[in-house]
Amino acid sequence: MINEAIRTKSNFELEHRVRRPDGSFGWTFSRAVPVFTTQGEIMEWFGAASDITDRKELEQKKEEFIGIASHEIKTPITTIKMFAELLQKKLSGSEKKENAVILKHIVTQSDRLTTLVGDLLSFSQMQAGKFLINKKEFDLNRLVERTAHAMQEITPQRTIGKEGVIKHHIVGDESRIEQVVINLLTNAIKYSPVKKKIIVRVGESGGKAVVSIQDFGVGIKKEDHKTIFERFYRGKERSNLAKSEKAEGFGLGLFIAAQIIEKHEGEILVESVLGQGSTFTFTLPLRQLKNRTRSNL
Amino acid sequence: MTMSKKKKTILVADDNVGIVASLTMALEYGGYGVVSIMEGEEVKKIKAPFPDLILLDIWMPGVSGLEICKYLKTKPDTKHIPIIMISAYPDASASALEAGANGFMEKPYTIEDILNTVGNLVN
Repeated sequence: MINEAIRTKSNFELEHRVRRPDGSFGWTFSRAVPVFTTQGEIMEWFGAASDITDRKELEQKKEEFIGIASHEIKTPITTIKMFAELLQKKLSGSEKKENAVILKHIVTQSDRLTTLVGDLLSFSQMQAGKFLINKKEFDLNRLVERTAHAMQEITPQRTIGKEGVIKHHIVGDESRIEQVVINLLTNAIKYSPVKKKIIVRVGESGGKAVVSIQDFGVGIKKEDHKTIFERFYRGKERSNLAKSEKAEGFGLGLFIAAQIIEKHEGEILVESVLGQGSTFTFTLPLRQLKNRTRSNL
Repeated sequence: MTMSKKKKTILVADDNVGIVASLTMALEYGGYGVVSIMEGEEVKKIKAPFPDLILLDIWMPGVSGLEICKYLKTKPDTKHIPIIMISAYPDASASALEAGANGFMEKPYTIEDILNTVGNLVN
Protein backbone atom coordinates (compact mmCIF):
# COMPACT_ATOMS: atom_id res chain seq x y z
CA MET A 1 0.00 0.00 0.00
CA ILE A 2 2.83 2.42 0.86
CA ASN A 3 4.54 1.45 -2.42
CA GLU A 4 1.37 2.27 -4.31
CA ALA A 5 1.20 5.70 -2.60
CA ILE A 6 4.86 6.36 -3.55
CA ARG A 7 4.26 5.23 -7.12
CA THR A 8 1.16 7.36 -7.58
CA LYS A 9 2.51 10.21 -5.40
CA SER A 10 -0.77 10.24 -3.50
CA ASN A 11 -1.90 10.33 0.12
CA PHE A 12 -1.42 7.22 2.19
CA GLU A 13 -4.06 5.96 4.62
CA LEU A 14 -4.07 2.72 6.57
CA GLU A 15 -5.92 1.19 9.49
CA HIS A 16 -3.79 -1.48 11.10
CA ARG A 17 -3.56 -3.64 14.19
CA VAL A 18 -0.61 -2.90 16.48
CA ARG A 19 0.98 -4.70 19.41
CA ARG A 20 1.61 -2.37 22.33
CA PRO A 21 4.73 -2.58 24.59
CA ASP A 22 2.61 -4.26 27.30
CA GLY A 23 1.70 -7.05 24.84
CA SER A 24 -1.91 -5.97 24.31
CA PHE A 25 -3.28 -5.27 20.83
CA GLY A 26 -4.90 -2.11 19.54
CA TRP A 27 -5.78 -0.36 16.29
CA THR A 28 -4.05 2.63 14.70
CA PHE A 29 -5.07 4.87 11.84
CA SER A 30 -2.05 6.25 9.95
CA ARG A 31 -2.30 8.99 7.39
CA ALA A 32 0.57 10.56 5.42
CA VAL A 33 0.67 13.29 2.79
CA PRO A 34 3.64 13.62 0.40
CA VAL A 35 5.58 16.91 0.31
CA PHE A 36 7.04 17.57 -3.15
CA THR A 37 10.21 19.24 -4.41
CA THR A 38 9.87 21.94 -7.06
CA GLN A 39 10.63 19.21 -9.61
CA GLY A 40 7.59 17.30 -8.47
CA GLU A 41 9.51 14.56 -6.66
CA ILE A 42 8.56 13.38 -3.18
CA MET A 43 10.85 15.13 -0.67
CA GLU A 44 9.29 13.88 2.55
CA TRP A 45 6.08 12.63 4.08
CA PHE A 46 4.02 14.54 6.58
CA GLY A 47 1.71 12.40 8.63
CA ALA A 48 0.10 11.35 11.87
CA ALA A 49 -1.11 8.21 13.57
CA SER A 50 -4.10 8.02 15.89
CA ASP A 51 -5.28 5.32 18.26
CA ILE A 52 -8.67 4.13 16.98
CA THR A 53 -8.99 1.06 19.22
CA ASP A 54 -12.19 2.29 20.92
CA ARG A 55 -13.84 3.05 17.58
CA LYS A 56 -12.86 -0.35 16.14
CA GLU A 57 -14.20 -2.17 19.21
CA LEU A 58 -17.45 -0.24 19.00
CA GLU A 59 -17.77 -1.06 15.30
CA GLN A 60 -17.14 -4.72 16.01
CA LYS A 61 -19.75 -4.76 18.78
CA LYS A 62 -22.26 -3.03 16.52
CA GLU A 63 -21.66 -5.56 13.73
CA GLU A 64 -21.96 -8.47 16.15
CA PHE A 65 -25.17 -7.00 17.55
CA ILE A 66 -26.73 -6.61 14.10
CA GLY A 67 -25.71 -10.15 13.22
CA ILE A 68 -27.16 -11.65 16.39
CA ALA A 69 -30.29 -9.48 16.26
CA SER A 70 -30.94 -10.47 12.63
CA HIS A 71 -30.50 -14.12 13.54
CA GLU A 72 -32.81 -13.86 16.54
CA ILE A 73 -35.49 -12.04 14.54
CA LYS A 74 -35.54 -14.77 11.90
CA THR A 75 -36.78 -17.38 14.39
CA PRO A 76 -40.07 -15.66 15.32
CA ILE A 77 -40.60 -14.70 11.66
CA THR A 78 -40.28 -18.38 10.74
CA THR A 79 -42.88 -19.31 13.34
CA ILE A 80 -45.35 -16.60 12.30
CA LYS A 81 -44.96 -17.57 8.65
CA MET A 82 -45.40 -21.29 9.32
CA PHE A 83 -48.55 -20.81 11.41
CA ALA A 84 -50.03 -18.42 8.85
CA GLU A 85 -49.31 -20.90 6.04
CA LEU A 86 -50.83 -23.72 8.06
CA LEU A 87 -53.98 -21.69 8.66
CA GLN A 88 -54.07 -20.82 4.96
CA LYS A 89 -54.00 -24.51 4.10
CA LYS A 90 -56.58 -25.47 6.71
CA LEU A 91 -58.92 -22.64 5.67
CA SER A 92 -58.56 -23.16 1.92
CA GLY A 93 -62.03 -23.75 0.54
CA SER A 94 -63.59 -21.85 3.43
CA GLU A 95 -66.47 -19.63 2.46
CA LYS A 96 -65.07 -16.73 4.47
CA LYS A 97 -62.81 -15.24 1.80
CA GLU A 98 -61.70 -12.42 4.07
CA ASN A 99 -59.83 -14.94 6.26
CA ALA A 100 -57.71 -15.91 3.26
CA VAL A 101 -57.03 -12.23 2.51
CA ILE A 102 -55.95 -11.54 6.10
CA LEU A 103 -53.64 -14.55 6.12
CA LYS A 104 -52.16 -13.60 2.78
CA HIS A 105 -51.28 -10.20 4.23
CA ILE A 106 -49.59 -11.88 7.21
CA VAL A 107 -47.52 -14.12 4.91
CA THR A 108 -46.63 -11.22 2.57
CA GLN A 109 -45.54 -8.98 5.43
CA SER A 110 -43.55 -11.83 7.01
CA ASP A 111 -41.74 -12.24 3.67
CA ARG A 112 -41.09 -8.49 3.59
CA LEU A 113 -39.67 -8.62 7.11
CA THR A 114 -37.52 -11.58 6.09
CA THR A 115 -36.04 -9.57 3.21
CA LEU A 116 -35.30 -6.59 5.45
CA VAL A 117 -33.64 -8.75 8.09
CA GLY A 118 -31.69 -10.59 5.38
CA ASP A 119 -30.45 -7.25 3.99
CA LEU A 120 -29.40 -6.13 7.46
CA LEU A 121 -27.57 -9.40 8.09
CA SER A 122 -25.80 -9.25 4.70
CA PHE A 123 -24.83 -5.64 5.31
CA SER A 124 -23.37 -6.38 8.75
CA GLN A 125 -21.43 -9.34 7.30
CA MET A 126 -20.08 -7.11 4.50
CA GLN A 127 -19.01 -4.43 6.96
CA ALA A 128 -17.26 -7.06 9.08
CA GLY A 129 -15.58 -8.63 6.04
CA LYS A 130 -17.42 -11.87 6.80
CA PHE A 131 -19.70 -12.01 3.78
CA LEU A 132 -18.97 -15.45 2.38
CA ILE A 133 -19.44 -16.59 -1.19
CA ASN A 134 -19.74 -20.36 -1.65
CA LYS A 135 -19.20 -21.04 -5.33
CA LYS A 136 -20.68 -24.08 -7.02
CA GLU A 137 -21.88 -24.82 -10.52
CA PHE A 138 -25.55 -23.96 -11.04
CA ASP A 139 -28.13 -23.22 -13.70
CA LEU A 140 -28.54 -19.40 -13.80
CA ASN A 141 -31.30 -19.63 -16.39
CA ARG A 142 -33.38 -21.84 -14.10
CA LEU A 143 -32.67 -19.63 -11.09
CA VAL A 144 -33.96 -16.52 -12.92
CA GLU A 145 -37.03 -18.43 -14.17
CA ARG A 146 -37.80 -19.80 -10.72
CA THR A 147 -37.35 -16.41 -9.00
CA ALA A 148 -39.43 -14.52 -11.57
CA HIS A 149 -42.15 -17.15 -11.23
CA ALA A 150 -42.11 -16.90 -7.41
CA MET A 151 -42.30 -13.09 -7.54
CA GLN A 152 -45.17 -13.35 -10.04
CA GLU A 153 -47.04 -15.60 -7.60
CA ILE A 154 -46.54 -13.13 -4.77
CA THR A 155 -47.77 -10.24 -6.94
CA PRO A 156 -50.45 -11.78 -9.19
CA GLN A 157 -51.69 -8.34 -10.26
CA ARG A 158 -48.34 -7.77 -12.04
CA THR A 159 -47.10 -9.15 -15.34
CA ILE A 160 -43.51 -10.35 -15.16
CA GLY A 161 -42.27 -11.64 -18.51
CA LYS A 162 -39.07 -13.55 -19.24
CA GLU A 163 -37.22 -13.48 -22.53
CA GLY A 164 -34.13 -15.29 -23.76
CA VAL A 165 -32.08 -18.16 -22.40
CA ILE A 166 -28.67 -18.76 -20.79
CA LYS A 167 -27.43 -22.01 -22.23
CA HIS A 168 -24.50 -22.62 -19.91
CA HIS A 169 -24.32 -23.35 -16.23
CA ILE A 170 -22.22 -20.88 -14.25
CA VAL A 171 -20.04 -21.14 -11.16
CA GLY A 172 -21.15 -18.90 -8.31
CA ASP A 173 -23.09 -18.67 -5.06
CA GLU A 174 -26.63 -19.57 -6.09
CA SER A 175 -28.35 -18.16 -3.00
CA ARG A 176 -26.44 -14.86 -3.27
CA ILE A 177 -27.23 -14.48 -6.98
CA GLU A 178 -30.85 -15.28 -6.15
CA GLN A 179 -30.68 -12.45 -3.60
CA VAL A 180 -29.56 -10.10 -6.42
CA VAL A 181 -32.42 -11.14 -8.70
CA ILE A 182 -34.95 -10.80 -5.86
CA ASN A 183 -33.61 -7.33 -4.96
CA LEU A 184 -33.78 -6.11 -8.57
CA LEU A 185 -37.25 -7.55 -9.12
CA THR A 186 -38.46 -6.12 -5.80
CA ASN A 187 -37.28 -2.66 -6.88
CA ALA A 188 -38.93 -3.02 -10.28
CA ILE A 189 -42.21 -3.92 -8.56
CA LYS A 190 -41.84 -1.22 -5.93
CA TYR A 191 -41.05 1.64 -8.28
CA SER A 192 -43.43 1.03 -11.17
CA PRO A 193 -47.21 1.19 -11.49
CA VAL A 194 -49.16 -2.05 -11.13
CA LYS A 195 -50.45 -1.91 -14.72
CA LYS A 196 -46.97 -1.74 -16.24
CA LYS A 197 -45.16 -4.89 -17.31
CA ILE A 198 -41.76 -5.96 -15.96
CA ILE A 199 -39.44 -7.71 -18.39
CA VAL A 200 -36.63 -10.05 -17.34
CA ARG A 201 -34.15 -10.70 -20.14
CA VAL A 202 -31.39 -13.27 -20.04
CA GLY A 203 -28.72 -14.24 -22.53
CA GLU A 204 -25.04 -14.58 -23.29
CA SER A 205 -23.13 -11.73 -24.91
CA GLY A 206 -19.47 -10.93 -25.42
CA GLY A 207 -18.46 -13.95 -23.40
CA LYS A 208 -20.69 -13.05 -20.45
CA ALA A 209 -23.93 -14.27 -18.94
CA VAL A 210 -26.30 -11.29 -18.95
CA VAL A 211 -29.43 -10.75 -16.85
CA SER A 212 -31.44 -7.55 -17.11
CA ILE A 213 -34.65 -6.43 -15.42
CA GLN A 214 -36.62 -3.65 -17.03
CA ASP A 215 -39.49 -1.69 -15.51
CA PHE A 216 -41.56 1.17 -16.86
CA GLY A 217 -41.85 3.09 -13.63
CA VAL A 218 -40.65 6.33 -12.09
CA GLY A 219 -37.05 6.05 -13.35
CA ILE A 220 -33.94 7.58 -11.82
CA LYS A 221 -32.30 10.97 -12.45
CA LYS A 222 -29.11 10.78 -14.49
CA GLU A 223 -27.02 12.42 -11.75
CA ASP A 224 -28.04 9.62 -9.38
CA HIS A 225 -26.88 6.79 -11.65
CA LYS A 226 -23.38 6.87 -10.15
CA THR A 227 -24.51 6.83 -6.52
CA ILE A 228 -27.41 4.41 -6.78
CA PHE A 229 -25.28 1.42 -5.78
CA GLU A 230 -23.98 3.13 -2.65
CA ARG A 231 -25.31 2.09 0.73
CA PHE A 232 -28.43 3.82 2.06
CA TYR A 233 -29.22 5.29 -1.37
CA ARG A 234 -32.81 6.43 -1.65
CA GLY A 235 -33.44 8.59 -4.71
CA LYS A 236 -35.53 11.72 -4.23
CA GLU A 237 -37.84 10.91 -7.11
CA ARG A 238 -38.64 7.64 -5.43
CA SER A 239 -40.36 9.44 -2.59
CA ASN A 240 -42.66 11.02 -5.19
CA LEU A 241 -44.56 7.75 -5.43
CA ALA A 242 -48.13 7.73 -4.23
CA LYS A 243 -48.40 7.42 -0.45
CA SER A 244 -49.57 3.81 -0.70
CA GLU A 245 -46.51 2.99 -2.84
CA LYS A 246 -43.97 4.99 -0.86
CA ALA A 247 -40.47 3.56 -0.91
CA GLU A 248 -39.72 1.20 1.97
CA GLY A 249 -36.55 -0.46 3.19
CA PHE A 250 -33.10 0.54 4.35
CA GLY A 251 -31.66 1.59 1.00
CA LEU A 252 -29.36 -1.44 1.07
CA GLY A 253 -30.78 -3.65 -1.70
CA LEU A 254 -28.76 -2.24 -4.60
CA PHE A 255 -25.62 -1.87 -2.49
CA ILE A 256 -25.82 -5.55 -1.52
CA ALA A 257 -26.58 -6.57 -5.11
CA ALA A 258 -23.54 -4.64 -6.36
CA GLN A 259 -21.28 -6.16 -3.69
CA ILE A 260 -22.43 -9.68 -4.56
CA ILE A 261 -21.88 -9.15 -8.28
CA GLU A 262 -18.47 -7.59 -7.60
CA LYS A 263 -17.49 -10.64 -5.53
CA HIS A 264 -18.36 -12.77 -8.57
CA GLU A 265 -16.13 -10.56 -10.71
CA GLY A 266 -19.16 -9.39 -12.65
CA GLU A 267 -20.61 -5.99 -13.42
CA ILE A 268 -23.88 -4.30 -12.56
CA LEU A 269 -25.20 -1.18 -14.23
CA VAL A 270 -28.32 0.90 -14.61
CA GLU A 271 -29.92 2.61 -17.58
CA SER A 272 -32.80 4.84 -16.69
CA VAL A 273 -34.83 7.79 -17.88
CA LEU A 274 -36.79 9.76 -15.29
CA GLY A 275 -40.49 9.11 -15.72
CA GLN A 276 -39.97 6.30 -18.23
CA GLY A 277 -38.42 3.47 -16.23
CA SER A 278 -35.19 1.68 -15.46
CA THR A 279 -33.21 -1.32 -16.64
CA PHE A 280 -30.77 -2.95 -14.23
CA THR A 281 -28.32 -5.34 -15.84
CA PHE A 282 -25.75 -7.63 -14.28
CA THR A 283 -23.18 -9.77 -16.03
CA LEU A 284 -21.01 -12.68 -14.97
CA PRO A 285 -17.77 -13.27 -16.85
CA LEU A 286 -17.33 -16.09 -19.36
CA ARG A 287 -14.22 -17.41 -17.62
CA GLN A 288 -16.55 -18.55 -14.82
CA LEU A 289 -18.63 -20.49 -17.34
CA LYS A 290 -18.03 -24.17 -17.58
CA ASN A 291 -18.14 -25.93 -20.89
CA ARG A 292 -21.43 -27.57 -20.08
CA THR A 293 -24.75 -26.75 -21.64
CA ARG A 294 -28.21 -27.05 -20.16
CA SER A 295 -29.29 -30.67 -20.24
CA ASN A 296 -32.78 -29.84 -21.48
CA LEU A 297 -31.61 -27.99 -24.57
CA MET B 1 -51.59 -59.69 1.69
CA THR B 2 -51.55 -55.98 2.14
CA MET B 3 -49.50 -54.20 4.74
CA SER B 4 -50.66 -51.03 6.39
CA LYS B 5 -48.25 -48.17 5.75
CA LYS B 6 -46.45 -47.30 8.98
CA LYS B 7 -46.46 -43.62 9.84
CA LYS B 8 -42.94 -42.21 9.70
CA THR B 9 -41.77 -40.50 12.86
CA ILE B 10 -39.81 -37.27 12.87
CA LEU B 11 -37.88 -36.00 15.87
CA VAL B 12 -37.92 -32.21 16.15
CA ALA B 13 -35.00 -30.99 18.29
CA ASP B 14 -35.16 -27.25 18.95
CA ASP B 15 -35.17 -25.12 22.09
CA ASN B 16 -37.72 -22.65 20.75
CA VAL B 17 -41.34 -23.45 21.66
CA GLY B 18 -42.72 -21.65 18.60
CA ILE B 19 -40.47 -23.51 16.19
CA VAL B 20 -41.27 -26.88 17.79
CA ALA B 21 -45.03 -26.18 17.73
CA SER B 22 -45.08 -24.92 14.13
CA LEU B 23 -42.88 -27.76 12.84
CA THR B 24 -44.99 -30.31 14.70
CA MET B 25 -48.21 -29.00 13.16
CA ALA B 26 -46.66 -28.77 9.69
CA LEU B 27 -45.27 -32.31 9.83
CA GLU B 28 -48.54 -33.71 11.22
CA TYR B 29 -50.32 -31.91 8.39
CA GLY B 30 -47.95 -33.77 6.05
CA GLY B 31 -48.92 -37.11 7.59
CA TYR B 32 -45.95 -37.70 9.91
CA GLY B 33 -45.83 -38.64 13.56
CA VAL B 34 -43.79 -36.14 15.59
CA VAL B 35 -41.81 -36.27 18.82
CA SER B 36 -39.86 -33.33 20.17
CA ILE B 37 -36.91 -32.64 22.43
CA MET B 38 -35.86 -29.18 23.62
CA GLU B 39 -32.60 -30.04 25.40
CA GLY B 40 -29.41 -30.74 23.45
CA GLU B 41 -28.08 -33.43 25.79
CA GLU B 42 -31.40 -35.29 25.61
CA VAL B 43 -31.05 -35.65 21.83
CA LYS B 44 -27.75 -37.50 22.32
CA LYS B 45 -29.52 -40.00 24.59
CA ILE B 46 -32.23 -41.14 22.16
CA LYS B 47 -32.93 -44.88 22.21
CA ALA B 48 -34.83 -47.33 20.03
CA PRO B 49 -37.39 -47.14 18.57
CA PHE B 50 -35.49 -44.48 16.66
CA PRO B 51 -37.16 -41.74 14.62
CA ASP B 52 -37.05 -41.96 10.83
CA LEU B 53 -35.49 -38.50 10.62
CA ILE B 54 -34.25 -35.74 12.92
CA LEU B 55 -34.81 -32.02 12.37
CA LEU B 56 -32.05 -30.47 14.46
CA ASP B 57 -31.49 -26.81 15.35
CA ILE B 58 -27.86 -25.76 15.03
CA TRP B 59 -28.05 -23.70 18.25
CA MET B 60 -29.22 -25.93 21.06
CA PRO B 61 -28.75 -24.98 24.72
CA GLY B 62 -25.90 -26.74 26.47
CA VAL B 63 -24.49 -28.51 23.48
CA SER B 64 -24.37 -27.33 19.87
CA GLY B 65 -26.43 -28.98 17.17
CA LEU B 66 -23.24 -29.63 15.21
CA GLU B 67 -21.79 -31.61 18.10
CA ILE B 68 -25.03 -33.58 18.48
CA CYS B 69 -25.03 -34.33 14.76
CA LYS B 70 -21.40 -35.54 14.83
CA TYR B 71 -22.13 -37.69 17.90
CA LEU B 72 -25.23 -39.35 16.41
CA LYS B 73 -23.46 -39.96 13.10
CA THR B 74 -20.62 -41.83 14.83
CA LYS B 75 -22.85 -44.03 17.02
CA PRO B 76 -23.51 -47.39 15.29
CA ASP B 77 -27.19 -47.51 16.23
CA THR B 78 -28.02 -43.91 15.19
CA LYS B 79 -25.69 -43.18 12.28
CA HIS B 80 -28.32 -44.35 9.77
CA ILE B 81 -30.87 -41.73 10.85
CA PRO B 82 -31.07 -38.84 8.36
CA ILE B 83 -30.48 -35.47 10.01
CA ILE B 84 -31.59 -32.11 8.65
CA MET B 85 -29.99 -29.16 10.39
CA ILE B 86 -31.75 -25.81 10.72
CA SER B 87 -30.26 -22.36 11.14
CA ALA B 88 -31.00 -18.72 10.44
CA TYR B 89 -27.44 -18.34 9.10
CA PRO B 90 -27.14 -19.44 5.46
CA ASP B 91 -23.38 -19.75 5.97
CA ALA B 92 -23.97 -22.53 8.49
CA SER B 93 -24.83 -25.02 5.74
CA ALA B 94 -21.18 -25.93 5.11
CA SER B 95 -20.57 -26.68 8.82
CA ALA B 96 -23.78 -28.72 8.98
CA LEU B 97 -22.77 -30.90 6.05
CA GLU B 98 -19.25 -31.26 7.46
CA ALA B 99 -20.76 -32.48 10.72
CA GLY B 100 -22.50 -35.25 8.76
CA ALA B 101 -25.96 -33.75 8.26
CA ASN B 102 -27.91 -35.09 5.29
CA GLY B 103 -29.57 -31.75 4.62
CA PHE B 104 -29.76 -28.11 5.69
CA MET B 105 -32.63 -25.67 5.90
CA GLU B 106 -32.32 -21.94 6.36
CA LYS B 107 -34.88 -20.00 8.37
CA PRO B 108 -37.39 -18.89 7.37
CA TYR B 109 -38.67 -21.85 5.39
CA THR B 110 -42.09 -22.72 4.06
CA ILE B 111 -44.23 -25.76 4.81
CA GLU B 112 -43.48 -26.98 1.28
CA ASP B 113 -39.74 -26.66 1.92
CA ILE B 114 -40.05 -28.77 5.06
CA LEU B 115 -42.33 -31.44 3.63
CA ASN B 116 -40.30 -31.75 0.40
CA THR B 117 -36.95 -32.00 2.17
CA VAL B 118 -38.21 -34.44 4.80
CA GLY B 119 -40.10 -36.47 2.18
CA ASN B 120 -37.00 -36.82 -0.01
CA LEU B 121 -34.99 -38.24 2.87
CA VAL B 122 -37.46 -40.56 4.56
CA ASN B 123 -39.06 -42.08 1.49
